[in-house]
Amino acid sequence: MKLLTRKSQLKIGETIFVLMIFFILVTIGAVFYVKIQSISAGDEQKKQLELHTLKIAQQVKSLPELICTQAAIEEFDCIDKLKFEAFKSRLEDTSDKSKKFKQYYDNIFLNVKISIKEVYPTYTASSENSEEVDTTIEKKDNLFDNMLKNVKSINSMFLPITFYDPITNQYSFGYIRIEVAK
Amino acid sequence: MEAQLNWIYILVVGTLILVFFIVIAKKYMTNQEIKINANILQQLDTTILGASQAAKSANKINIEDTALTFECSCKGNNCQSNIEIGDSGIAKDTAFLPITAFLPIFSPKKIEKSQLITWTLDWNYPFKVSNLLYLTRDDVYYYFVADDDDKSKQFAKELYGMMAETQFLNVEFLDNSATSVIYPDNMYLLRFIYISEDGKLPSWLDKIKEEKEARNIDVLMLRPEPSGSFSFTKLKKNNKVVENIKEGDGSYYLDTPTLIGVIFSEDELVYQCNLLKAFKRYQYVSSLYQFKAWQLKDDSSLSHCSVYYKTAYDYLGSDVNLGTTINVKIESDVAATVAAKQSLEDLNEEILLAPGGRCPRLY
Repeated sequence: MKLLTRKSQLKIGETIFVLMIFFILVTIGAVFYVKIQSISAGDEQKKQLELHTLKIAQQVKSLPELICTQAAIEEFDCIDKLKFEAFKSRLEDTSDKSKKFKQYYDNIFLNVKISIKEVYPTYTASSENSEEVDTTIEKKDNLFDNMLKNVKSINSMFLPITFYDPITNQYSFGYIRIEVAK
Repeated sequence: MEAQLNWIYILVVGTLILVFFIVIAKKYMTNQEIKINANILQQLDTTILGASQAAKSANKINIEDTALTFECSCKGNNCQSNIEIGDSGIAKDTAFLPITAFLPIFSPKKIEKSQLITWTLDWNYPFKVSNLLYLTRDDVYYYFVADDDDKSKQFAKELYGMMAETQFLNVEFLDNSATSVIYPDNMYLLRFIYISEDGKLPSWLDKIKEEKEARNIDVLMLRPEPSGSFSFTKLKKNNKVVENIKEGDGSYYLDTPTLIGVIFSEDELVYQCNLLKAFKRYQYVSSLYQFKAWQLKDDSSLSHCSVYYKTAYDYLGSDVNLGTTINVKIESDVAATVAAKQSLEDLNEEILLAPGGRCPRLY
């Protein structure tokens, strides 16, 4: 009887051991799978952020609030300076009416920062050093900042653009910088 | 005894392993569903965004594996659209599709087991305000039927021509007396756009609703005017013939793009909601033009034009012209905005022809 009990105990131990090995292997497999998945998810997230930035850039470029028109016909890649100023001042205004205005565009451009810089002919940098571009960016005109604090990653994009001044009837060159975070 | 214990072990361990794999499989299936819906959402976002920027563009997208439900609801004059994919509720938040917050989308309430057709027109009122996005399914047929008078026929032909140009829409022009048309079976909706001065339904429509196998049949009644009232009459709803129920309490369209919006909308409410969304954007764009007029008025080099810009400034400042008070069910409201649009258009032309030197156009 004693021998039989020992034999049973041995078998139970054996089964438990096999099960433990099985679950350890499954757990290792699962951990490996999750790791691989999280790496590819990170890559996918980066790709999506780039795509999202591109979409926002397209949206900004075709905003009726900014684009140049001649009798309601749109001009390609052109920003009307007076409309730009109007848009900026309404975004910066703190009256109740303008707050609603800002809220409306906050919903459209969630976690986005848009800055615009006129480069030529107003740009007068003297040196030709490599920091020139950064200096220009520092002096840019922030149009819209709806960026949340503590964002994980930011993607930015530059778009060349022309500016039209209806008063002087002159065009100038510049760019839009779009920063998008997720 | 030993054999019994073995069986108990097998039972317990077997159940444990089975439960383990069932849980994993279930998690995997849920994740896959979310992944598929997110992919569709991504595609939809790209399509809607592309369509919202490229006016006069049409597209056809296969969404046979899922269903899209469109909603538009208003709190006062603040209207909001939502798109639900399948039953996931994934896009019931504008954070997923921010563009739906401001883009007017005229569509049926549900698009499923079919292909999604998109079409875009720009809305200039009179300056560029937004693009209007029209969505429909490939199992919806639009029939243009005009009364015998030339004005109605001409109006119907123009609308038909515009829609036929897209090449994706199922659209036909019918003679008022034509009853021998072969209508396709198993359609989701047959929509008759009936253009007539007197506003009476032709009698042959009653015959069609009895005979045809479409799930829904309705008639959109219009007068041949560039802006005016319309009404929907249901002839068949969810496979049941109904007693020519006139739906809604009548609204107005303002111009051709908004009229096309009526044609694509599930009903009057969908149209009203999206038109109010368009007017919200109009208010904001209009306020920027008012600011521009003020800057032009105050510029000393353009003093010879200041009288025009002053008029434009005052004009854009009024509530009617800004569209803040519009009610698309009230004829006088709609007439006032249509007149305001025309006046601004005339003023913009006058500015161009102003004597005494160059005066830049307002828009």
